[in-house]
Amino acid sequence: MATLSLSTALSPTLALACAPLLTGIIAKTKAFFAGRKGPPLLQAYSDILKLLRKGAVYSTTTSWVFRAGPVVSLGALLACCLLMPFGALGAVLSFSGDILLFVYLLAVVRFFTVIAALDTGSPFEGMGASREVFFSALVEPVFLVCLLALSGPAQSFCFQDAIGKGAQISLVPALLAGFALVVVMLAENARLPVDDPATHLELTMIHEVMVLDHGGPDFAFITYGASLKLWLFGLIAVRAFLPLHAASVWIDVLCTSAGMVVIGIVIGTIESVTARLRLLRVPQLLAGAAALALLALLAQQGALP
Amino acid sequence: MMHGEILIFSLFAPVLAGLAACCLPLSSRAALRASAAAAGLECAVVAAVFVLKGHASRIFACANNLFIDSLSLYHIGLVSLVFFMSAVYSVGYFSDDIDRGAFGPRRARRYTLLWNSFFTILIAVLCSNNMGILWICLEATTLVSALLILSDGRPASIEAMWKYLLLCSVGIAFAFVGTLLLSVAARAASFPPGESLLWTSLADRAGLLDGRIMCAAFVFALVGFGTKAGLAPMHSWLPDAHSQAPTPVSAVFSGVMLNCALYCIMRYLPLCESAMGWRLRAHAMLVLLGLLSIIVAAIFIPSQKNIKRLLAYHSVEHMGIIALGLGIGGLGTLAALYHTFNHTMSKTLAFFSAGRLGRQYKTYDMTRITGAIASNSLWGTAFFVSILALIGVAPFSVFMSEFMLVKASLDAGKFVALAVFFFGSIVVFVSALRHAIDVSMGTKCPDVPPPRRSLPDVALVAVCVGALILFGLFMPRWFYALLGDASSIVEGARILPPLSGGLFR
Amino acid sequence: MSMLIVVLVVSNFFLLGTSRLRALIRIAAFEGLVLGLLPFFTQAEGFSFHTVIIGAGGMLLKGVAIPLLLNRALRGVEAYREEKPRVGYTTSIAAGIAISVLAFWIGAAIPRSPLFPNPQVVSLALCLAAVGLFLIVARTETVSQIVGYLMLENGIYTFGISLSAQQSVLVEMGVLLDLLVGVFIMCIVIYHINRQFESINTEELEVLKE
Repeated sequence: MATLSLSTALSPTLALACAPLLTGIIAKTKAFFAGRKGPPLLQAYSDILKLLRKGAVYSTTTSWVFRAGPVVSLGALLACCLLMPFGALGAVLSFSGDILLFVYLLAVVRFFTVIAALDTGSPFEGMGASREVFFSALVEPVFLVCLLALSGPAQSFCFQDAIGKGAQISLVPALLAGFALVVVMLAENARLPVDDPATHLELTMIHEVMVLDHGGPDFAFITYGASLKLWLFGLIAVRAFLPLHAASVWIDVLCTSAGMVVIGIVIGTIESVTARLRLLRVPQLLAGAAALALLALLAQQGALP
Repeated sequence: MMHGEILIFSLFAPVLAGLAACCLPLSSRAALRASAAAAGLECAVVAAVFVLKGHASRIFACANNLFIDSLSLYHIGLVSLVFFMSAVYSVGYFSDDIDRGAFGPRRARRYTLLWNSFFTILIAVLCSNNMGILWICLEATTLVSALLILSDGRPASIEAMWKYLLLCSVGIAFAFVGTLLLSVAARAASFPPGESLLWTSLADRAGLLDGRIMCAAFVFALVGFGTKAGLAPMHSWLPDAHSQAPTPVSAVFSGVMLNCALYCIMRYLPLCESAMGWRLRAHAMLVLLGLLSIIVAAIFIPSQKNIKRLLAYHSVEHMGIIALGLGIGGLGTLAALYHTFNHTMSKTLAFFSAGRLGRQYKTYDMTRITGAIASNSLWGTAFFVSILALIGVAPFSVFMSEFMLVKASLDAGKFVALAVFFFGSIVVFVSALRHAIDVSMGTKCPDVPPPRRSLPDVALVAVCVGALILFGLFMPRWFYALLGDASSIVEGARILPPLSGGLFR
Repeated sequence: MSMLIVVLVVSNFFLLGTSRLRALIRIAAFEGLVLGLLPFFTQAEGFSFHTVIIGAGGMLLKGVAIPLLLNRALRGVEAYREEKPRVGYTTSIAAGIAISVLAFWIGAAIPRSPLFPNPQVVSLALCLAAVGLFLIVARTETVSQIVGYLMLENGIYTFGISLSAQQSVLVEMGVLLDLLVGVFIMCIVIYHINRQFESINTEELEVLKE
């Protein structure tokens, strides 16, 4: 179950160390499309360090719930990192059904983010919270179906078998699930075309508006947590596209790392060429993702060729 | 066989000549007359082919892809006759428009071109032995005739055309699935690849075909061709298209195009009968659709206001009656084929007179067409007579074929079907008679222009009424033989029982 | 072959999810092109005169000629998107999911026999035809309905491909020609509808009813 060795310890370490880098790659790609130089690749690290050094200001109307939000969220995400294998490098914790634990940990993250947002009593944050809950209610089943399809051959519902070294899925369902997972990733991490992370209009935001009142170390936790979440989802999507059986662990790790860079560039490209969807059109996008996920499941069950 | 090629190609010669004539720079009237002449020639050729064919049961051409037998020759005869009468009629029908300049040479040429291609393609439908080509030609009739509906470009006719085009194309697409399944069944029974769609090969060895596949094929064919034939519940395009098309086109639609779609079903019937066992589901399905059509007509006829829509629903009813006859089988098939002729003649006459009256009253609204006999004695009377014939009043031949149908269903023990048929016919009888009396007898409208009368009009009415009465009272021996041959083809090469004495002299 | 099937099924969802008429035409063209490749993978003999003719003819017609016709019909028409679909897009996609699941379930139920060598292609055919019928029912713009009709035809064409019994080239070409002429005439109707009603929505067509 819990196996701590050099290679398994590497998976969470990579996540903790490289997650902010992924946001840097996205920012660079967007700057390239806009014809700008853009922030340095490591800007996210500097931001987080700066925020950590600052003090926090708390509104008098908030309670302990508001302060607990970022801490609990980051804690849950760190726990998620332990469940996630990086390619052929195993996960620290792996057991049958750990995918469900992962999903519920993410639900915990969401619950505390939302409740902290509601605690401020600000109408904007309440609106953001309601949208977050609305969309996540649609995304979660899609995500589960995708992982069900990916882990299908092994029947264990465990990350190690779905996207880790035990993956045995064939090409067609993997591709279908991969595309659905990209949509899931965009929706879960509040990226375009579901939510615009760079907007300045509170009315249109989803994720950013919920954390408006956080500052200092709290906001550093949130920023870091968001990049971790993006890393985890990106990793799942990349592994869906790469159902390879590499000869050695290190080739596999190399391919996966390259995949992570590519997915950063892909997200940046998507964000550069699409506009945010109207709120009412988002369910349609998610329904499309659901269709892909179900097809993947069908294909995996052998109904498709 | 060279002989066969000549006979079959000669069937196409007049219509192709008509087609060519429309491309010449003729005046409007000349173009219409040319098509009438071509159709007349076609009638003569059909008669000649009928005589020359003699006792040969099938005549082939084009590597067996084309053929004629009694069933197709019978339908070709009907098609030519109706096209001839309608072409003659259209010369008079459009003459007002020509005088007003609304039907100039360009429009006339376009109209006659479409008209003659429609004619040609219908003949091709009836001559084709290859079920794939049959389907292609039937779909082509939809396309060509859709453009004929559009001749005057009014919003309602555009709507009618769109509905007709979409519904019939989608419907016929289902029939193609039936064709594909037919070829599967043929291949499963190891027919040679070249013959897997040839009707004559299939019919000769229909017993080898797989019953389940043929059942599926028949369902698809019935839905597809049934849409085109206007069988309920796929009939919804029919009233719109019939009421919006120019009257000669409506007459052709109702008089022969629907029959041609039913003809396709008749081609499937013997194949399915032999494959699925004698008189099973295929016939039950036909009876069901037939009864449904009769009921639908009975529901909608009483409330009709538009005179052409009234006639269109009559078409639905009569297609239902023919389908019912085919479904009952035996004598019913004979009745159905006989009824095809009767319905064609009476419906053509009805559309002709409705069109003329509508032109004269400048409306097709039956509440405003009253006293037709007083204001136009020829067409007013013709309308009244044609409605009487359509609802099956005694001396006319429609009565005889319906009587035969009743006898057939009594013999077959189909009492429920018979009850529904009686119920529908009585409703239609009463309500259509009421409409007809209102239109023909009511108070004369004061501001109706006097009718124009011409010799062709009188001749048309005389021919139609004469045929309806003549074939009702006395059936010529050759005609009965033709009907018998045709129905034995539909029955799957079963010879009909000899003519029973009571029905005909 | 499985790749082609998946691509077609996925593009069905795009067809169901888009409201833009030109996107609809583009997707239909794409499906036509992909369908043209299908016979090379399903027919036993692979590259033969018959499959080349059928495949190339289908691609040329459904991938190039008909989309050009439809785009031309849209020229001068004030319609870019489906304004009032009878069934919303999210519901349409849900219906698409139901259709696909049902189609592949039926395909899985077909016993493997020499008559139906490719059950998955039968499923694909069902899927395409059902989506076509759904589009005809659920959309009100004439162009969307024509695309629905095209999908129905594609489904039937695919059904023909799935069978072991080949049709003669003459019949196949005749069917394609009918399709082309049919779409051409429908485009003429679009022109007339647009001129009469200044819109190409079938909701305008409501004069004739009981």
